Amino acid sequence: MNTLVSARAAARDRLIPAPSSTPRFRLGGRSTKAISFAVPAALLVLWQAASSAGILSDDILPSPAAVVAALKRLTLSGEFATNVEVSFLRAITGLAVGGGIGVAFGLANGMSKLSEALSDSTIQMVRTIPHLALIPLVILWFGIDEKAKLFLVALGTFFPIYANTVHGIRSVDPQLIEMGRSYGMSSVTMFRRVILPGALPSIFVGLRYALGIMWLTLIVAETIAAQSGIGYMAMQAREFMQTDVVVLSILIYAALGKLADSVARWLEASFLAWNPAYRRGGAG
Amino acid sequence: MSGTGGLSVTARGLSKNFGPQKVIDDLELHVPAGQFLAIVGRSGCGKSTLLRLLCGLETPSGGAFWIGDGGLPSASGGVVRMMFQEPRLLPWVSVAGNVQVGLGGSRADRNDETRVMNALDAVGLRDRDRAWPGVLSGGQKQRVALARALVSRPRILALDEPLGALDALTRIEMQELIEEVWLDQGFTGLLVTHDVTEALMLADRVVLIEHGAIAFDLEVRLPRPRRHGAAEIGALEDELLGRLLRHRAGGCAGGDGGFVHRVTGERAGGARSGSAIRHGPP
Repeated sequence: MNTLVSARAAARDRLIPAPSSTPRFRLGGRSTKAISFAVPAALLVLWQAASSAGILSDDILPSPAAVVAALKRLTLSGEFATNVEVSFLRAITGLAVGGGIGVAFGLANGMSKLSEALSDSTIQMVRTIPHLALIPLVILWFGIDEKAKLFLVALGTFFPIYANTVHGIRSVDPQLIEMGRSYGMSSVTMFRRVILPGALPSIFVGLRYALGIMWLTLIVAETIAAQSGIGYMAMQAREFMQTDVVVLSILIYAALGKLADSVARWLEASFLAWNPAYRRGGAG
Repeated sequence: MSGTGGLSVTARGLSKNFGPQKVIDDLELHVPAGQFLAIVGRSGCGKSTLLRLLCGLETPSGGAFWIGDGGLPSASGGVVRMMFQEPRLLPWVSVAGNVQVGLGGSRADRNDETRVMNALDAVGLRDRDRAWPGVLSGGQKQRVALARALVSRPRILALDEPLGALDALTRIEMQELIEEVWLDQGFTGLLVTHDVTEALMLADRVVLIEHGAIAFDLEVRLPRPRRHGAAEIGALEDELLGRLLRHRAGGCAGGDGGFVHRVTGERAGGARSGSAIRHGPP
């Protein structure tokens, strides 16, 4: 009874906190971040412990310490830097070529009916071919030279960027286009201020897809036909039963993939700052 | 660059068909320079199409709109500005950048900057110039849209139910704001609205459109500023509504949307009848 009265009094005096927009059970930003790092760290500790205890044979999976040692060894010999650089350049160049062509065709086909009629159905047909199935043909064409890898990466990254660019342009709000028209925008201004920014979120979605395909293509291409690069390094290590180097190569791919994803996120956050869904650090 | 003051608007034999449907049918209208005209009518009666024709967003099937005494064809650059029911702001451009759109040019110079800030000042949003439109309220967004429409000092302002989506209080504030800038700048105003009270609060003259033509033309000779709920406005409101409802009783209700009136909550339905009774000029 007493508590009820005091609760009422408190309510009257607005002492009871208003229900906040974030539910009570949600953890704060810092603690969720700590947890998301704690889980992989714990797995790492578990892995090292299993190796040290001899449960895990070094031939099956070397301990994290052994992988770190391999990293140190390869860094000192210069092999690490060379191979990572080669792979990174292949990935970026392939993406630039494939993505550039994808954006160009996407913009053209999104805006021009004629251009769409000319090329869209052809592109859609070629898209049904798994690009990795072309590896034998690509080796026949280019040998195991740089061009083979670039071609495959460019081909793989082209489709997601193309499809999402077309989709992005189609989904620009027609009311905004009409507004632009009624305010006398030229077609260049309309493209620069209305169509391109409107399509950008979708183009970024395409870029994130393309990044995944980029690494996948590179891994496959480098393991099958290469004389340098991370995949080559891994295959060489397999010949000599250097499991630690194989695991290291896999981890480097993972790290590069993560790096590329972070860069894409950073680009999204900078270019799409107007969009609440991409804004850094919550509402401004 | 447009000057100040309004230009007259004349529609002669204006028609617009969408397929077999006649939306505007041989419409005659003259709006003197500087007049504030409200256009009311049921949904689907063609009143929005009329504004879209004026702004060049649709091409007439017959006849034309003429602007000014010299007979400028409509939609000649920057003379007419349109405010839509939705704010239609570019979400990726700041508030000031959106107002800048109203100046047409792609490059901003110092002079433009001043004009943008003055326009924002006029709608009371000077301090939000760097904000993204996404963080503004519905009323604030519509204010930005008004600033964008006014920044080029248009001679004619077309308003297509710009306040329809706002809450009642914001709507009254916006009505006052629109009246204020109209009195200040003297443009010719054409307001399409569902709301008879709004039409009577703002307009010098109210026309009722039915079946694509003007069915009723009413001069509103009331002093400004007008007061909500004043007796004279009530009387005119009754007259207009009576006119509208008589048409329904006569069996020529157009469209399916119905005419919504805030005070009475009257909602008229009814299907289009074959034997329409036409009021006003044939």
